[in-house]
Amino acid sequence: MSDIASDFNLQRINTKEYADNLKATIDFGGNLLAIARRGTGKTSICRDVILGGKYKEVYVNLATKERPDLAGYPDFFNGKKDNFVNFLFPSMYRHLMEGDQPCIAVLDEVDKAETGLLSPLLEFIQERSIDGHKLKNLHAVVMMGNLPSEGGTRPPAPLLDRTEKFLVEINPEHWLEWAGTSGLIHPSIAAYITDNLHDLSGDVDQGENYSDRSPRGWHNASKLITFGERKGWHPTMMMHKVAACVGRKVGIKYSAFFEHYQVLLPVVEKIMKGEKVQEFSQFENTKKLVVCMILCSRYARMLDEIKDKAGDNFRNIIMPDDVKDAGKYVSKFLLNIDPEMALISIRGQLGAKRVLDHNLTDDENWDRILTELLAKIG
Amino acid sequence: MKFHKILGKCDPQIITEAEGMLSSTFTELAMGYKTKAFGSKLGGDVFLHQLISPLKHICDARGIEFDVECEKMHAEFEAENVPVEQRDAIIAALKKQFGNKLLYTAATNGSIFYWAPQFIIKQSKIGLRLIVGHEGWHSIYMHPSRRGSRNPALWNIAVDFKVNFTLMDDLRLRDFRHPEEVFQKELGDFITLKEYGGFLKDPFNPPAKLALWNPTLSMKHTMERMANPGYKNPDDKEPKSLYFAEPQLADDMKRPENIYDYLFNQIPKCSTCGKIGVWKKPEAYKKLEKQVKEMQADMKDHSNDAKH
Repeated sequence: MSDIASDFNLQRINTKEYADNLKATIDFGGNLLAIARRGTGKTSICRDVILGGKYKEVYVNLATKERPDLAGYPDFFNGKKDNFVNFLFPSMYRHLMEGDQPCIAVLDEVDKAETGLLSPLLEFIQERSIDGHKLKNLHAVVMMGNLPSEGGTRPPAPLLDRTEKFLVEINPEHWLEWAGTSGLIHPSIAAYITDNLHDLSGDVDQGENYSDRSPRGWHNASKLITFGERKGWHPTMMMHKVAACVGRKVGIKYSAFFEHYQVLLPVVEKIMKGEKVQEFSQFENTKKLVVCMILCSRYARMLDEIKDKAGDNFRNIIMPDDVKDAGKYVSKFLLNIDPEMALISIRGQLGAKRVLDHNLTDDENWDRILTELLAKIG
Repeated sequence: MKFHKILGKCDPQIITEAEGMLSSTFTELAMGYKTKAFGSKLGGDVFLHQLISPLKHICDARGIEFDVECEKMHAEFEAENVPVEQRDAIIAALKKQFGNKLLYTAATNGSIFYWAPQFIIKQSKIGLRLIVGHEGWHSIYMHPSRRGSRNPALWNIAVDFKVNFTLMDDLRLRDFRHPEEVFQKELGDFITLKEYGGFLKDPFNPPAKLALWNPTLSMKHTMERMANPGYKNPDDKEPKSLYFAEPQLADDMKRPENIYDYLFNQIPKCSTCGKIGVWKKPEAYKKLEKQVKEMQADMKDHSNDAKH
C-alpha cells in the first residue's frame, strides 16, 4: 500500500523491513532516521526491537528540548568560587556516560526540533559525545519524524548526511499480523481491517478534517472498546468512541460491521455447535445471507486445514470429528433455509472443488442439499 | 456517487438529480440495520451497500433520447401524412440505431448497474430503496449467470418473482405488517405468480389486472391505427407500472428455476409438433386478424400502384 505521493528520494520500506533494518543498524552501532506518516508505529516498533536486545532505551522527544537540554547547563550556583564554569548535563546522559550497559538513543520528532539543537545533535550522532564528553555507552541512534504534509519539516542536510534514512510505509498485512500476535487490537477491528485494508490509514493530507483513520487511531479505539466491553458501555457509546478516534465516515462503516460482529458471529457459533438459533428467522435477509456465507466459509477453512496438514495425501485422511460435526450441522441448517441463500453460500464460499475433493456427497445431508440445489443450475 | 458513464443524451439536471437520489440511497444502505433515521427510514443494509456501491453505475438515458426523437418524427409524420407501414419502418430503424433494447427502468448484469435517470427521479425514497435492493438481489443470486438455455424474457420474469418476494420478506422483517401494500404504494401494482401463469395459459382471457395485455385488444388498436395513422392508443398515455411479485412464495417456488418451470409449463404446446405458444384464438380475434391482413394487403397494393 503506497499512497504517499513523493518519496523525497528516500528508500521506501514497509514496517516489517523497518524492524529488520533497525535490528541490523543497532547491531552495527549506526544511525537510522525513519520518516513516516503519523501513527505508522515507528516508535513502538523501535521499542519492541530494543526490548528484544541487550540494550537500554534512552528516549528523547526533541520537540520539547532547547539547546541547554542537550548541551548542558552552566553550573553557576554550586557555592564554589571558581574562575571557570562547569556544565551540568541533563540526567538522560547518566545512562550514556555511567555504567556499562550499551544504550540506544531514540530521538523522536526530529522534524520538529529547534534549529538551535543542530550543533549538539551533530556531535551527539557523529562523535558519540556531547561538548567533548564521551558518551561511552551510546551504541546506536534512531531518529524519527513525520512527513512535511503532516506538519514536519525536513531535518537539516548535515544531520541527514550522518544517518541512514528510510521512508517507512504501513503495510496492513503486517499490521494485522502484529495485531494478532500482540493482542492489542480488538478482534472486531482486526476483522474490519482485514476486510477493509485501505481503511487502516487515511489520506496523507487530512485537509480541513480534524479526524481521520490511522493505525494509532485504531489502536486507541481498540483500547476504548475493550475497556467499554468490560465496563458494559452501551454499544452506541462505543461506536461514538471509535468514530471519535478514526473519524466519523469510517466510524459509520465500522459500526455497521460491529453490528455484524456482535449479532451474527454468536449465531454462527451456535449453528456450528448444532444448537438451535431461533433468532435467525427474525434477521433481515442480507443478515441471513451473511450468516450462511460465514458458515460455509468457516467450514471451507476447516476442510482446507485438513488439506494443508495432510498435503496430497489428504483423501486418505479420516475426517476429524470436529470437522465432521461442523459439516453435519452446517448442511442440516442449510437444508432448512431459503434454498437461494444456501445455494449462493455454497457456491460462493465452499465451491465445487472442495465438495469433490472431500467427497461431501458421501454424507447424506450434503448429498441431499447439493442434489436439490445444484441439479438445475444451467 | 457519480455515474461512470452516460449513455444517450438528456437534460443534465435529470442526471444530477438521479445521482443525488442514488447517493442518498447508498448512504442510507451504509448505515446499520437498525439505523432508521435516514432517507426511507427502512434501516441500513451494509451487505447490499458493499455489494452495490463499489461497482460500476451507468446512466442509461437512451430511452429519453429515443422518446424525444420519436416525438419529433411523429410530428413530421402527421404533417406529411406518412402511411402507417412507413412510419413503423422508420421508427424501427431509429430504434435499431439506439441498440433496440431501450432501458426505461434499471438493470444489472451482476457487475454493472444500469439506471434510467427518468425512472430514478420519479421514485419515492422507499421506492428507490426497493429498486436498488431489487437490482442488488438479482446480483446476489447470480441470476444472469444461471439462465443457461432458458428463454431470457421468461427467466427474467421468474427471477423478478423471487427477488420481489425477497424484498417484501425483507420489509416484513423490518416490521412492516403489510409489505405488499408498501410495495404497491411506493412502487406500483404487481401481478402474482398465479395471475401471470393464468395469462400465459390463455392470454385471450387474462385476469382483470392484465386486461390491457389481451391480444384481441392489441389487435383492435392495430386496426384503428391502420385506419387512422394518427390514432393513439389511449392506454399508452399513462402506462401503469406492473411488477412481477408474489408476496407469499410457496417453499417449492423459492427457486427461480422452479418458478420458470411452472410458468413455462403454463404455455400451451402443439400436441403434434411440440411447438410452444400455440394458443387457441377466439373468434373475435380471428375476425380482427383477418381484417388487419386485408387492410395490409390493400395498403401494399396501393403502394405498388403508386410506385408504377
